[in-house]
Amino acid sequence: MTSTTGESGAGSGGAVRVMVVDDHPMWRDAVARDLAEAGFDVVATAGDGPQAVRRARAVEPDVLVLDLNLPGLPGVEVCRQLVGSGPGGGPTGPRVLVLSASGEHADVLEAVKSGATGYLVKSASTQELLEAVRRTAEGDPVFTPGLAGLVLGEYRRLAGDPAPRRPDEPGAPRLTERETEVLRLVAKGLSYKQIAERLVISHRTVQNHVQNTLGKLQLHNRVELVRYAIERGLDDA
Amino acid sequence: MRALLSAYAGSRVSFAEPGAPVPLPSAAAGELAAAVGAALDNVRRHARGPSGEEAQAWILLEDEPDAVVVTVRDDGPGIPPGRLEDAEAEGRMGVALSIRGRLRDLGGSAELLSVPGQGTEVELRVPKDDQHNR
Repeated sequence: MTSTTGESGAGSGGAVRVMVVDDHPMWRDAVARDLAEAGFDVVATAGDGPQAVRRARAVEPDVLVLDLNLPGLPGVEVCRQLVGSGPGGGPTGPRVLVLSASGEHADVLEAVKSGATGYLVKSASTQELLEAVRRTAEGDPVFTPGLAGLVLGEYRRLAGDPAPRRPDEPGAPRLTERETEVLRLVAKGLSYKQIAERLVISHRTVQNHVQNTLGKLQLHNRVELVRYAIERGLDDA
Repeated sequence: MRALLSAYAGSRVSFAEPGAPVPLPSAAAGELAAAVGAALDNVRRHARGPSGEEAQAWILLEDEPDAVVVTVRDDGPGIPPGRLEDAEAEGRMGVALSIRGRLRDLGGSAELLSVPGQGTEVELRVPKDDQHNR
């Protein structure tokens, strides 16, 4: 991962503040250097889970580039502790871009359900990484074909789950037909622009559909966690 | 199916899957994987970008309630209308026939979709047999 491009990574107002979390020092430094060279403000790095949580709380980065395989505390747990932990469930904390080795699919899905909005494999190019960090900072989910496939799979599994135990309990989230269509096209490698052309909808609408598929999963995950806590009597801690 | 298909992934081939095992009886799995391999060979052979570079390909594996579906897409120029019919008339349908034939033997289907500017998709669908295949 080397980069000599001097492209600006900053948005209109000030540089995007990024924190890089990975337990391999050489990898971490390379990613941090690439980001800095592209104009991002790398405000912190961390090499293990607990350190990541502490430093992220201290420096409050805009974007957390997070490896999932961390000593001390798994990346999924780091994500859970930092993102949207407020009672309103809003976008508090940093936006999280997961950078993972291939083959960690279950973990990637867990991280996404816990609030990560992007996923890139470690074999991605520097340009792909810079673009992904930029988009994550803007709140645009970084949906690779791989992630779209995982999310589709998760919804299909949820659809196969038994009905809620109590009638007043909300059921598992479902995809609309259009959302399924959009996700399948993303998983087949089409760009948002191509999807917009094919379905004769706007680029913005494609983005909204993709965002909704993540939003519903994340909301469902929070509801499940709360229910679990209530069942265990942990809600009034 | 995941293990069989992930072997095809590489710098030009991306593989998307549901994140959980997708079981098929081993004979059907082997045939389906071979059909995917034939589709990828076809991409390598025919789908080229404007300057002759090899096309990118994507494999999507889906586990639907009643079927296993694998889609192979490429970003090549697509197949001009009439081209397949011509090839069929001239008896040059080796790849398409081998893909279709394999899927038919499994009780499934193979559908080809080519959208101008968006490459070609082959959708392979193998029904799940509740009685025997679970």
